[in-house]
Amino acid sequence: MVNVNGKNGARSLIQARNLDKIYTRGEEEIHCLSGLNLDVEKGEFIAFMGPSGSGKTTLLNLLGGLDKPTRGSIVANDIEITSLSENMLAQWRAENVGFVFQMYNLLPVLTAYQNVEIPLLLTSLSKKEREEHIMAALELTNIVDRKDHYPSQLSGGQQQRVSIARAIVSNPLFLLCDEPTGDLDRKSGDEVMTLLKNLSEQLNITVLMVTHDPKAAEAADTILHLEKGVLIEGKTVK
Amino acid sequence: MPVPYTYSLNSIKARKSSSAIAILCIAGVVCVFIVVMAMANGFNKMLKSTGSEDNVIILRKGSSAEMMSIISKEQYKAVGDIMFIKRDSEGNPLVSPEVVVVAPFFHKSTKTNALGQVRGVLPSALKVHPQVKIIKGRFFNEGMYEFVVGKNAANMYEGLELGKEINLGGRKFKVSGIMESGGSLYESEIWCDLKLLQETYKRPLNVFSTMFVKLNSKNDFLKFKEMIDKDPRLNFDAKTEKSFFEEQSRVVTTLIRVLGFLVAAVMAVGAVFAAFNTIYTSFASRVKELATLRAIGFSQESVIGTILFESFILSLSGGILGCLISLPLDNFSASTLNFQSFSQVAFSFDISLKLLLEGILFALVIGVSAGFIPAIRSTKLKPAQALRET
Amino acid sequence: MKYLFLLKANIKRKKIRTFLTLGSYFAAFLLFGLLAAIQSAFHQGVDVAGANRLVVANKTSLIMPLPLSYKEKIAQISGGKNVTFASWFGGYYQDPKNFFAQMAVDSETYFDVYKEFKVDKNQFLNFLKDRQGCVIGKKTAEKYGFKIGDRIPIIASIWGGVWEFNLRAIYTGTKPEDDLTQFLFHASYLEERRAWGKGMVGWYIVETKSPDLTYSVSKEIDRKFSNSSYETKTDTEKAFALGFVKQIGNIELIILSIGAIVFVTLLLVTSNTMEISVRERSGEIAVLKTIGFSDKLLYFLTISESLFYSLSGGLLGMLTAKLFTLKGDPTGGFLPAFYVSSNQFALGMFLIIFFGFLSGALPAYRVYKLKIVDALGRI
Ligand SMILES: Nc1ncnc2c1ncn2[C@@H]1O[C@H](COP(=O)(O)OP(=O)(O)OP(=O)(O)O)[C@@H](O)[C@H]1O
Ligand SMILES: [Mg+2]
Repeated sequence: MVNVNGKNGARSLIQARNLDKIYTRGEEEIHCLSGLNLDVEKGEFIAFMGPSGSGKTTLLNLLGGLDKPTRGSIVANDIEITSLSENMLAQWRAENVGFVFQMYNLLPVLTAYQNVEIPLLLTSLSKKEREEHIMAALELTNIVDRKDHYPSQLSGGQQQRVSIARAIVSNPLFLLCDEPTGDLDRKSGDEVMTLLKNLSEQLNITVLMVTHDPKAAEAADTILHLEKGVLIEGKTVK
Repeated sequence: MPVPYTYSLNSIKARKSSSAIAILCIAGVVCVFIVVMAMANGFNKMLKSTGSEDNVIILRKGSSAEMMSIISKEQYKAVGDIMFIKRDSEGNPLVSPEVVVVAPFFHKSTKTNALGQVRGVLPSALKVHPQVKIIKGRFFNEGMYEFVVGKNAANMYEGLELGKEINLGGRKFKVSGIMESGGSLYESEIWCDLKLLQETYKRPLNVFSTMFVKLNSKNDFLKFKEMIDKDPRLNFDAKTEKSFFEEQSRVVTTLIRVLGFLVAAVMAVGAVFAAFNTIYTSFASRVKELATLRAIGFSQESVIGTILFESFILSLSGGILGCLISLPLDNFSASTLNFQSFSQVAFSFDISLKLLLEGILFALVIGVSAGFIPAIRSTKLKPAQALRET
Repeated sequence: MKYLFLLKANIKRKKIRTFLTLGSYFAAFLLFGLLAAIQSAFHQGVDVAGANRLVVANKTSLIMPLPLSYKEKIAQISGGKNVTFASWFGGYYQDPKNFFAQMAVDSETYFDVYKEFKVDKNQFLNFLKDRQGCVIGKKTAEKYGFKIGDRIPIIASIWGGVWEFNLRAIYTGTKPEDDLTQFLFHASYLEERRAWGKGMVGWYIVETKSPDLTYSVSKEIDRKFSNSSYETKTDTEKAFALGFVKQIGNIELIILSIGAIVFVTLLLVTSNTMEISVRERSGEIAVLKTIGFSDKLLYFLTISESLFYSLSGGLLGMLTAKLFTLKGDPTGGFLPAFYVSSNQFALGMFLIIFFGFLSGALPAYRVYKLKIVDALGRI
């Protein structure tokens, strides 16, 4: 069960303790996160909400090992990622995290298929095995028919589905999604949310998602609000 | 509505490093263009001005260089009597007996001794060689150990400045003047008094190397040559000064023409690639920005205008910079070997105002046409599409 | 290489830019190849110089002759092994533009000294038997289609008239830089037919018993003839050739330095292009890093891209230059050795790789240092 008070004794999948993140801009110090705690169990689907500038992206960056907290620790699957070197972090990300961005961030020069292949290049899989994984991911995200298209030939919703396929293809520990529907219309947005929900429910994939859209947040099991640098529990569906 | 020109200027300023590289690169292109052309111009000038068609050189048959030729005083006298030779106001034929030797001088740029051609003449030789002009000092005085040094020889060798003394065959000669002859081979030579040169080199006074003769008209040459050929006392070759010097420099000419052209052609291609590449690259990465201008409401034409204006400014600056860099090379002296006489010949780089303007024009043509591709591309792209391109 | 398609996609991203970059490398290394050929052409004499050969020339100038009688006197000097001589003939075949060196040589001894020239034994004997016989280098023979037994008329610009020779032998070389353009015939024939200048030769070539003796032998020769009316200047063949190269003057220097400016400009440009294209892609690079590509891997990929441009453009340029030089001397005979040597080719290859690295190094370092959070924020 998700927990934000840092009092969970047992080892959960993700365990963040006393996270501080302070940005310095010249003289000025911005206290973005202060003493944040979070415990996430496998298979949970969590939505983070909060006003613009509250630090949601910052939190995802820390959880994904893209940035380091000023203080505090994050342990994911028994590995303390806050103490890993840059190189080890890169490897850790490759094995454990799938990222989905608001702007999709597909490589424009590669086809959908090739975009999905990228994370697998970092594994030791053979070409044949890679193909199997890619096709499976594309089928799950229902975009197989567009596999040879370039991003510029796809709609926003389709691009986002390709980017979700890319995020899950290497079978990561958890997905981090930063406003995955932020750039989409209602219909495409709903499709993406249904997809994420299915992945979470049927494949038991852990999903951590930032969103501004209350309707999108409803798809999640838990909604957490980020306020004044800490998480506050919102409604719980289950 | 045109895009304000300050946008272009600001954009150049904002992209300091890529603007600087574009300007530098175009400057390099222009500099190379000017230097290569200046070399070609200087060289052609030397060839063109070397030798007139009414001057005839007379050598012993079979001599490939002047210093190999031998002419006796009797033969010299005999030639003077031939018709068709121009005469001065006192009725003397314009015939110049000359002695040619080579002597080692210290070559400034290769830092070794190189052979320079030394020519002993009578003071009256100037009547036969009217293109020779003294630009500094004066002609040598008869009977004085003095040198008149060709402009290029003065640049090429150490110690041949006006007023300096230099050793030749154990005698000290003083440089009394610097001469010019419209860029001809004589500018690579050193002239002095005929008799003193013969003495210094322990040559008999009644033997010369060659003779130069001025004809009444260049049309008389064939008739004059026939008389020489017919005369049993004279085993001579007569050639016009022009064709003789052309023969002398045939190897050098071919080398410079062929190699110079070859290298210049490849360099020009390379330079064009370079300039194109920088200008093109700097715009191609800004398709999005240009599309934004379009989206705001500027017309296609005015966006194209902006790009062309900006590349115009860049190439103009590059062109001017290139001219400034190449300017100090004006009159720079290039020297090489005359493969016939194994002495040094030199010619000067000739950078004219016309050449500088051509250089700038060259820069503008390359620069502006390189701007054209991205300009046209930016119009083909619909703004909406371009904005989505990453 | 499973990353190959990533490279391929990046290369195809901006086709015009790729074309211009390849073109820049192509031009740079075509230029390099030509400059190398020009350099070897000018230095040919230096490269082929025998370590134990001396050239004895008239002290005043190479074009002044020496007496034939010196041969015996030089042969007496201890330390010398073989003595031969040659005279410049200075004629041409059919047209003055058809330039190749003709020399009247001491036929019995010339090939003893120039051991790198190989002649078939029977052909050589035929040459010795024929008063008007001549030996021609393979290159000249091929260029003008001369066959053994051909009668070759040479127009003698120095001595006058048309001289006819019978081609009796064709010599070949042992090294690529050997001069295979010479036309050699009996000095005795020249002596017999010329009207003046009898009893004189152009220059002597002396082979010493060992390279250590060159200094003492050369001093001894010059001493022997000092204060005669034909003083000599004796140099090792190498020094002689080097002196000659220096005499060619700063033309070579000018050509080479202009070439160098262009070369450097082109490389500046390719580096700049690479830099801009990497900057454009910083968002994508950040995404790759997010996915888990290590800094090192991305550094390596950037360098590979740069190497791809330099290798494909540069190699094409070098090969074009090589092909061009295989067509032979562009001046029609003045540069008997116009070729890209294997050393120069290797240097070219080294430069291609070096500059591929160099122009990729800065952009790749930028990639290496790129912070995901900063770059993603920029999207
Ligand atoms: N690199 C940085 N340097 C300085 N300040 C930063 C930096 N990154 C983020 N911030 C600041 O930290 C705060 C939180 O930023 P963050 O991007 O996490 O907010 P967010 O909750 O994701 O907002 P949004 O909903 O608009 O995406 C903001 O005030 C922002 O200005
Ligand atoms: Mg955010």
